[in-house]
Amino acid sequence: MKAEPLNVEENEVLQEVINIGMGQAGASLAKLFDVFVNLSVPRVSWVNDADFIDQVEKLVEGHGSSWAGVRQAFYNQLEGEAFAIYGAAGCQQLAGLIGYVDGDNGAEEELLLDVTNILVGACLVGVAKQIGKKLDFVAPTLVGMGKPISDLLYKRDREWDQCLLIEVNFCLEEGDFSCHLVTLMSEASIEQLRSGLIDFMESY
Amino acid sequence: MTAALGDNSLGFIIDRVDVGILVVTENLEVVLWNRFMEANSKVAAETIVGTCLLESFPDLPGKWLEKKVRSVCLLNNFAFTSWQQRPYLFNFKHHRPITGGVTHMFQNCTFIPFEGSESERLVCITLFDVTDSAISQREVQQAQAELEELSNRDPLTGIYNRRFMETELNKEFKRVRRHGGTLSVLFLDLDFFKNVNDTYGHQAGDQVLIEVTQRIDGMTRATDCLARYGGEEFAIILPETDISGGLTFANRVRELIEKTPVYYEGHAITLTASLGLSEYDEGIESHDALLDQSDKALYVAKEQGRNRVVCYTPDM
Amino acid sequence: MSVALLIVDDSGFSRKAMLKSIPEGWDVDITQAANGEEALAALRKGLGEVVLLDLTMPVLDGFGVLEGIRDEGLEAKVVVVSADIQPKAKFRVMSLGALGFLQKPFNKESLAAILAECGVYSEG
Repeated sequence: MKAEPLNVEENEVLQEVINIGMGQAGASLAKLFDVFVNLSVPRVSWVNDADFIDQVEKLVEGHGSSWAGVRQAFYNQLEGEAFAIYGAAGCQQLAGLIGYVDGDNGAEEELLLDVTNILVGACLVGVAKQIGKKLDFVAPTLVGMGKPISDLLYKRDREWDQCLLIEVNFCLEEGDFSCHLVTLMSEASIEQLRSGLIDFMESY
Repeated sequence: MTAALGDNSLGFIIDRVDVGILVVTENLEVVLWNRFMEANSKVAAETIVGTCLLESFPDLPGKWLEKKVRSVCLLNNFAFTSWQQRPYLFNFKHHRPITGGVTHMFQNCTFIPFEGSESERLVCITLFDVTDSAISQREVQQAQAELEELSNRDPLTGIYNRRFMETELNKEFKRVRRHGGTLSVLFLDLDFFKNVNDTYGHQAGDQVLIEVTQRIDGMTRATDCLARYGGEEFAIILPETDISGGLTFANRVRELIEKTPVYYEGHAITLTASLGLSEYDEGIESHDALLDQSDKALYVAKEQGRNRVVCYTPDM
Repeated sequence: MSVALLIVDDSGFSRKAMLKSIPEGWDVDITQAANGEEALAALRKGLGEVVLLDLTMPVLDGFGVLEGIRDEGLEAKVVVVSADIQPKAKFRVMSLGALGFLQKPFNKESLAAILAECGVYSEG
């Protein structure tokens, strides 16, 4: 069974709900690091499994060739996997901002995990709360650092056909830290998402 | 709560569950300390509850922990630590003294913020013993590293294979192109090697390859990369080496091979080698082109009568 | 006499939500804009005595609109309605001349409250 993709109106609501979730994530980052976060308009699109890697590559094209990837699974009424992609410069920028010691790999990895946890947490919890759905998280894990995008994503059959591609960029005012966020959700979750979005729409 | 559970049930379960559970305030004052924590730390709940966690555990990463707990409270969001980045939070002994081969318990931790009865901010920290999976993952990683090392080697001679050499050369090539410096590549081919196989048999041929390899290997520096390129052909990457340095090295190798026969079942097998050498310069576009130059020089060395070193020139 | 109300948001859903949440008794002539450039064009035509302004938008963002209003000396009472809830964002828009700041997601009540607080419209 394949989930019906969201229609234009549902997508528009989703976009706004993500926009709000992203605002909350930005505020969390700002609070924690005491910096101003420039938010961009999030881009939301649906892609087929087959196009997934191509789309992600397009997303980061021209922004460098070396990336770090962190994955974090979520479960409950909404279930799926979030994938955060960081550029090499961004990682260093962030480490400098937090004052991690140079060359301490464990600390840099831990920082990426922490930041992913905060961004994914704030963003998706924000979405779930607005549409009244439950969501829990598994600890994030590092997929790789200093690698081309294609090495970070597996080209094997995924269980879920529909991927929700959320392009979110967080830029710190004093540096070019940016992060791309990609989310995959199960078919059942897409139905949950739809019902939640419809409820949210009708609350106005 | 269902009727079947008594008043103390939750407390009992929290105490006896096979997971470390502790609750602290934003200032790291301990509010709850379950039996798992007691048993592994040898610090009783009566002793530690109401005191600062760092008093009983001065070895904890205090600053980091304070920051973590504060951020969890501030953001009102779960946080995690994984053994892969931070092997443990509490330095506990593990329960695998016989089979472990490690000195401490690996832990995954979760930090969960919540509000206490007087609406003060509290953080529940759960601590999972993941020593078993950490050990097996390390074993897998070790096995992978060994496999990778094997896949870079030529099985007969034990030196690097062509694939690995080309990867290395590519890296070196990029390095000199970016940072400057010198780089030479030497190709070596044993002359009339087919005769060895035809006269003494393939096992003799193998023995020759092994011994010649050992001799060349004994002459290289740690930074050089010696590889079996195919059949009886070898390649040597010589970083930080210009053409005259490369030429000296190549002639020493050629002389050694010529002077020292390989002994096999009472036969002294004498050998000679032809060598082609070329040096990196800015006009060379890729590592492949550099290899190609050394190969051309080798071909000329063969043409000119073998047992000699020839340096590449553009007219080749 | 009715008030010229300008609703600026790149999200069509968000504009619809604002439309639905406007106090029923408020007599307004509504214009919509999907980005900052469109908003400034409407303002120059006098279509925005009161503006409900989103911040994060393509082409020209809400900060840009506030700067435009200031630089061109346009008359407008601006209430920012934003998902960007950083204290510094609020501080910036207030110092650029916005009268109020409404956090997304909003509802009828919170919108009415901010309108009253800014002295733009109060019910009853």
